Amino acid sequence: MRNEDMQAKLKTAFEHATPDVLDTVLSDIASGNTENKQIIVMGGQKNMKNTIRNLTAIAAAAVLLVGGGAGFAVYNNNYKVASTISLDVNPSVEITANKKEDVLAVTALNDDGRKIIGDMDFSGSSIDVTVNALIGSMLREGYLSDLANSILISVDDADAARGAALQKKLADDINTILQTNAFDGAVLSQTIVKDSDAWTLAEEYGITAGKAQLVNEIVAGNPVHTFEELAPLSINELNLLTAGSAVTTTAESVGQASDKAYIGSNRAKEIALEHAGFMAADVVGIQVEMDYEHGVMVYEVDFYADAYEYDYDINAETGEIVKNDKEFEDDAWFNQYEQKMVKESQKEERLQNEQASVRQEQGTSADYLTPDDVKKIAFDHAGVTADTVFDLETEFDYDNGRAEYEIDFESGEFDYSYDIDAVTGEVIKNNKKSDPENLFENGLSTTSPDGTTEYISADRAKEIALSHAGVAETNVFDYDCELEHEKGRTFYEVDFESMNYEHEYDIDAVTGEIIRSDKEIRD
Amino acid sequence: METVILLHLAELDGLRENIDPSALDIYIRRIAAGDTRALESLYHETSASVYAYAVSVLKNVHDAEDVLHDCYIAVHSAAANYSPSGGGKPMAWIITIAKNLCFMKLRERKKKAETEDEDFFINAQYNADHALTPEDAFILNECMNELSDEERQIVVLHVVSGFKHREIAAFLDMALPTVLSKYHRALKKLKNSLSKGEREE
Repeated sequence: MRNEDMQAKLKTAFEHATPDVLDTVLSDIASGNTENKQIIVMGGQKNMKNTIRNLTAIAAAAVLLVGGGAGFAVYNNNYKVASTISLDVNPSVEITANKKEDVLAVTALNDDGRKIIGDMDFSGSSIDVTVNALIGSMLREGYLSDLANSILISVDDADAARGAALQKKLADDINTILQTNAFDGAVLSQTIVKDSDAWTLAEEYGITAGKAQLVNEIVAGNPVHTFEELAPLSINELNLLTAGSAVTTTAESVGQASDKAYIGSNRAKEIALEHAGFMAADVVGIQVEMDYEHGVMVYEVDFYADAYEYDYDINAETGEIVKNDKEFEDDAWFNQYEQKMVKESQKEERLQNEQASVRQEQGTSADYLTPDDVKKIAFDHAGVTADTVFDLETEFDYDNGRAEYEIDFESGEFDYSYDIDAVTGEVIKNNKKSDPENLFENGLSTTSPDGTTEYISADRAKEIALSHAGVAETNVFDYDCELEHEKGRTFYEVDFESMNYEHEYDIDAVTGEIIRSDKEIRD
Repeated sequence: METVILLHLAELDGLRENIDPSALDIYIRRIAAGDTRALESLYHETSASVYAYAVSVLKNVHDAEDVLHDCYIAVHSAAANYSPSGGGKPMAWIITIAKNLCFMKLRERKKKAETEDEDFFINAQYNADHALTPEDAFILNECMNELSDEERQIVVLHVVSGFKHREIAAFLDMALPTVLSKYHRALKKLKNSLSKGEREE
């Protein structure tokens, strides 16, 4: 069977096996029955004029609103949690309050949260006083600053109207505090969407439900990230991620996340171009986006130049290049590699065919050992391990009525050659010959056998040849290196193929000088 | 202009062997613009890839069906955030979404201590719902049982989703030569067991 047939059969089989869930998908989307159904875009409101400074008045109004439901049991008014408010910066704290907006408890959800609460006791204080004190502490401890100015306020309240009012009041309040602090804050505020899985996720990851909701929305909008990966990020980092993308979140956003802790997108561009060796004018389609990859905030820089697509991830803090990728727009390189692999598999096929024809000729149904089996027999016999072996060659042969493998290899300073019975594994013939040059060719030594001369290493010779040829290591195929002596000179004879050429070098083993170089177009 | 292309593609539906990435790009952009017919087209073009990948990872047809469903819901809500400039590989984007959903499923399963299927496509009832022939079922079961997890994912990504080997290498974070040798070994195993299966019949 040909590979193409196998591939086609497999593809068809999977196509036939795929259940049709399109109708369910469409009806779920139509009915809004999706996890992210309640995405509301409210970002970008800059309604700062309405900032209400008289907090007391608003608090009173809110109490009045609640007071509308008079006649509740004292317990319900005094001790039952009516609202949960969470503040996330990097410190995460959760405030629970009763219907009268008296604080019942303030809980830290991470170490930074514990630090900002310190030994303050808020029980019985109003929500306003508590939030003010917490923000003050965050400013003092430097969690909110010019470098990281984003805060997330989330309100969860059984009474939607009350929750919305509380959200607005707190957002305005915090905005005012931040505005008076010599830097512009970025405030995200939201109410927890009913029936969302924010609370479940929050519990699982030990974060606030508010942060869980935000992270969940970012992941939904950009599913190449996972919840797990983004959950530990600070709100400033999350705010930067949403700012540069089309992710829609429930949160209302005022102000811009600070990128002052980072090198900035222009610097990121410069670093990428410099590394790739281009001037800005040489490249097209350059794009910079902030993202979170490899566990750090990065600038993703993409551009095209010559026949390549360049792709850089640059650590946003240090400017270090964490990933750089350059892809050929054509598949020349890949095709060559694939050809090589196909050759290998053809080699195996040839062996199978050869063995089949020997069987037929001899009228036997003998089971032959595999090249791997006999390799092991030869190595054991020679007392060498696979990792010390170089230049291994195996051949199947039918000789004098006997199927056998011929195996040649190098290990240490010796050349080994074996004939091994392909059925029984018996060693028919073996030969071990000293060849001190192996030591140099295989990079085991650089000192001449008489101890008088120091040679450059085979690796160094390779470097010299590749750099002269201007060929990257990954584009080298069929590399071979031999130590030769001629006319009183000792040199490495290096052969390899690159994308389009066959290269040959003679490199002086003492000085590293290129004695001869030759380059021909491959056939 | 885009409409013309879409009609043209619709006519060719079923005839085209390989999935055209630029068509997928257009579908995703139209989904972002609220066009459910584009979602239908995208689904028809790519659902086998998503399902095949999910079943390769999860080794359970029911979980894979869940992921298939959730994947298109996620594609629908994330379409607006898809950027063709970010590599311009729509199939890789879709499969990455499927991959994350699969991992969520695996975590969920770990919690509930659920296990994998043993005979994936032998269940007669399951077969009755689909166009699965006995040969298909045989091939799929061999693919599930004879190949290692890595081999299976590599084969599926190449054969069903049309990933190039070096895209697979990047996707699975493996070296290209490893991907190539695993791919060739896997294909060979399948060919062998298939010709054996034919002899036994």
